[in-house]
Amino acid sequence: MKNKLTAGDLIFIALIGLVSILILLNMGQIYSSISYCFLFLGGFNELYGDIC
Amino acid sequence: MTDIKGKSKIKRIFLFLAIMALLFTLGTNWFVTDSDLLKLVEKVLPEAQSFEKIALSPLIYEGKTKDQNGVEEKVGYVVIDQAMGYGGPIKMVTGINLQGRIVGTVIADHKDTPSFIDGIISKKYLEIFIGKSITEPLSINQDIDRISGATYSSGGIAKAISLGCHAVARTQFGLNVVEEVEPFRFGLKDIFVVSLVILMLIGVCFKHSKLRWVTLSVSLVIIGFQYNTPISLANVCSFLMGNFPSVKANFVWYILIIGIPIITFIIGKNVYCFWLCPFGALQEITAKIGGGKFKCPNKAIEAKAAQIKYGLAYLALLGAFILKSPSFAGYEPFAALFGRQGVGLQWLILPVVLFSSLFISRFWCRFFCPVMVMNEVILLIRRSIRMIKRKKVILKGTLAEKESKSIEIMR
Repeated sequence: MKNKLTAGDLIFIALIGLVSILILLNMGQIYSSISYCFLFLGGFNELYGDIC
Repeated sequence: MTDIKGKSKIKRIFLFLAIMALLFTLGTNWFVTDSDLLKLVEKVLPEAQSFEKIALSPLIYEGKTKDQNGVEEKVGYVVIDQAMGYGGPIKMVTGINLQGRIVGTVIADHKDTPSFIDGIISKKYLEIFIGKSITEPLSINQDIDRISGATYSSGGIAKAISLGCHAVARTQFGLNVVEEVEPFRFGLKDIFVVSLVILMLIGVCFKHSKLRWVTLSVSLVIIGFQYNTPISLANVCSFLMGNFPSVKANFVWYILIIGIPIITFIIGKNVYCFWLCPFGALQEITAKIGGGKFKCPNKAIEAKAAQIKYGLAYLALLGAFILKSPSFAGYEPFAALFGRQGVGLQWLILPVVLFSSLFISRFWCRFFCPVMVMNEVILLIRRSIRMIKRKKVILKGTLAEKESKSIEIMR
C-alpha cells in the first residue's frame, strides 16, 4: 500500500527541489541568461535583447 | 532474489563508470599538454619570423628574423612562466626585446575565477607591463598596481611575468637579478586556526561536548566572517588538480585542505563539519532560533533527499575537471555570506538555505554540502581499509586453525 503525501512532505520536497534547482542553475551558469532576460523585461532590451 | 542481485550489479557498474569518468577528467588536467602556445608566442613578439626553443624551465623561445641576404638575426625572447592567482595558476607569455624591455604579454592559460580574469583584461591591466625593464621587481607590492577586487589574480599575473623576465635576464642577458624572498607569514589568522584545531582535538579526544559550541562560535567569527576561509569544494578541487599555493603565504590552506582530512582519517570522525565549520555553526544557531524540529514525515523521501549532495558534488567536480576551473565546483553559498562575494544565484541560495535551516536542522549540511560528502568519502575509505585488515586477520586465524587441526590429524 502506497503512503499518501502529506503537506509536510510537499513542503519538504518543494524546499529541497528549489535549492537543488538553484544550485544546478548556478553551476551551469544559466543564471546569466536568466538575469539578461530580467534586464530585458526591465527595459534594457537595447543592450540585452539579442541575448534574450 | 536474482532481480535484486542484478540491480546491485548494475548499480556497481554505474558507480565504477562514474568514478572512472571522474578520474579520467582529473587526469586530463595533469597530463594534457598546452596547445596553440606558438600562436601566443608570435603574438607577443610579432617582429620575429621564427622561434627556437632555447630553455625548458621556464620555457624560453628565441625570436629570429631573416635579413635581405637570408641571414638569421635575433630580435628578442619569449618566456612562458606561471604563478598562483586566486583560484589556481595563471600562465603568462611575455615578449622581450634585445634591450631587455617587455614588448608584449598575454595570458596563455589560467585556472582562476573567470570573472576576475575578465575584469583584469577589460581594465587593460596587461598593458602596464609594456616597456618595463626585465630587471625591475614587477611586484604588486612595489612597482606594479593591483586591481581592486582581483588582488590575488593581478598579483599572480605580475608574479608570473616577473619570474619569466628575471629568468631571461639571468640566463640570456647574464644579469644578476635576485628574486624577492617570500617571507613566512605566520600571522593572526594562522594562530587562530591552529588554536581552533587544537581546541577541537582536545574536545573530541576528551569528549568535552561544551567545547564544541566554543569552537563552532569562534570559527563562525574567525574562519567565517573575519577571514572567509571555510573549506569549500573549490579548494579541494584545486588541490586535486595540483594547484598548491605557497606554504609561506597561505599556511591556513594547508591546515584546512590537508591537515583536517588527515585528522578525520586518523580519528575516524567527521570533526570539521560538527566542530569547526562556520556555516554549520550558523545553521545550528538558526535551528536554535527557529526550533529546527521540522522533519519530513515520509522517511523514504528524506533518505532520498540526503543522496542529492552526492550527485551535486559529483557534477561540480566533473564540471570543474572538464572546464579546468576549480572555481566551477564552488557552489556553496559560503563566499556570499562570509565575504559578500557571491556569484549570481548564490545570493538566492543563501536566504533560502538560511530560512530553511530555521526549521530543518542543518538543512544545507544534510542535503547539499559537498564538504560533508568529502568527509564521508574519507571515512568510507578508512572503514574499507579497516575491513580489509580485519578480513586478513580472520583469514590468517582460520588458516592457522586449519593448520593446527591437520597437524593433530597427522599425529
